[in-house]
Amino acid sequence: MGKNLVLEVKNLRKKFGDFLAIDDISFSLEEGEILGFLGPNGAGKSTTIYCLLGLIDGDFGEINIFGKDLKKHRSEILKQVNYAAAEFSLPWNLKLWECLYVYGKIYEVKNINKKIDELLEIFEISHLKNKHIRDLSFGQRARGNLCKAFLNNPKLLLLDEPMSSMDPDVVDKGISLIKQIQKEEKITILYTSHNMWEIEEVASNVIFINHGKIIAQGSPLALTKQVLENKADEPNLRDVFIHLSRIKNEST
Amino acid sequence: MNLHRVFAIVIRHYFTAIHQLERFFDVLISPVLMIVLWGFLSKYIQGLNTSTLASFLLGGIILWAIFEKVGTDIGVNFMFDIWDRNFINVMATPITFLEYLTGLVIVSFIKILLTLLSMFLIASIFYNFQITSLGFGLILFALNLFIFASSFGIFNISLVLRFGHSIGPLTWILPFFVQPFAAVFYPVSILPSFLQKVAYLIPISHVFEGMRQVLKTGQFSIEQFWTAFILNLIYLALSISFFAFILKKVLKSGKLVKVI
Repeated sequence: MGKNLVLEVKNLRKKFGDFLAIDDISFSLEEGEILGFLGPNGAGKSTTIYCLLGLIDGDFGEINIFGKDLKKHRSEILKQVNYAAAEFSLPWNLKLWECLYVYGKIYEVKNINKKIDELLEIFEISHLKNKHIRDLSFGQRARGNLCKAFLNNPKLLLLDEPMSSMDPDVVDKGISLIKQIQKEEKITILYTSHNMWEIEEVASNVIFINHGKIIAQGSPLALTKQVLENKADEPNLRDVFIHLSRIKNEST
Repeated sequence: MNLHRVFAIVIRHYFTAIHQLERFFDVLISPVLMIVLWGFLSKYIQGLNTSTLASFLLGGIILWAIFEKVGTDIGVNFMFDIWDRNFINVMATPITFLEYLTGLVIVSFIKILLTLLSMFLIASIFYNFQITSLGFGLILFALNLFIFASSFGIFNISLVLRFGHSIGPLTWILPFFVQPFAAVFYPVSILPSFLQKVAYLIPISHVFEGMRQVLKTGQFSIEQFWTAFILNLIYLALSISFFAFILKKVLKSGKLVKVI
């Protein structure tokens, strides 16, 4: 049986002036796969995600999502994609349900109110439905963002540090809920985080990127064995991250 | 064009409006204060000179409000998504830029209807100025003002995309740059000859000249209407082309995601 590719990136390259942000990267994601996308700050992770959303035009290369060219079918493709990043917020002066209602309309979600109630319940924030976003804590806002991310039953989900700056309890709960929904819906996820534990928990495969280039990839355990040259039986992405970042930085 | 998504943008700003008092101030109070100020001023001048002058001033300020409110509102509503750090979330959805802009224009249209209603009432009750004396021409004047203001708003958004949110305040300042040359309160003939040429290139100058003609003679100048309308089509095409050009540039340079 052939692979059911959801996302295929071929030879993507992006330069901002003299700065090479993405240097000829290629990778793909199969249906139901969760890919951890790792790298130090400024490595090119967010730029890659923006390219996948059509918010930055690559200089060279191809992006195919659901077998379609992103440049030609952006709006059609994004109906089945969603995105969340802790860096961005829902509209500050709207109530949580109002935000979700607006996004539900944009994604043409059927039975919006029912869907909103279901997601609020899954993420355990039903009691915050009528609260303004400005009145929510950071962790509550992140869960609101995640509700938005699952609103359209996406087939591909791009999560760019969705739980950065959150306490371990919130992260743990968030991860469990993402895994639960992902398992039920077979969602394909590209997940970036600087919290290696998060990635170890969710990702079946990992790509390590630095200076815009993919420098290592594999399962968390395989990557640990390969990079740290040991016989570990548990993944240790934290040490892998430090090792790869330092090697690359020293060489540059 | 997907009407669901356009409706989503309209409803998003409805929700914002009902939670923010300053939005109501913007729609209702600020124009009322403006009309009160100009009403008294007009009344004062009326006592000294002719009632025609008072009508010119009140008519001018009411029609100016259409341009100023719509012109700034499109930009300000866009800025709300930037200030809320919601812009990238919206742009990451299937919504197209055309749908997003259309939603913003419709929001401004609804708000200006409310603003005008309040201004008409105040002008009519307190100053006995019947805007309806402009007849059917009022709708045609408003149409031209609305189109030019929309072009202006789209131009403003393009500037913010290109130069970043720090120039956001320009969105509510820029219309006042047009005011002295748009013959709002005085005829184009008052301006020096080189500025008259500039004034005639601005669609809304023809609207204000047309308004004065109706108030003075009761005759609607179809020629002024078409001149303004054709100029408007040119400006609308230019502003949309400028927006498309800037969008292409910011997608390439990565500035779209920096605008936040």
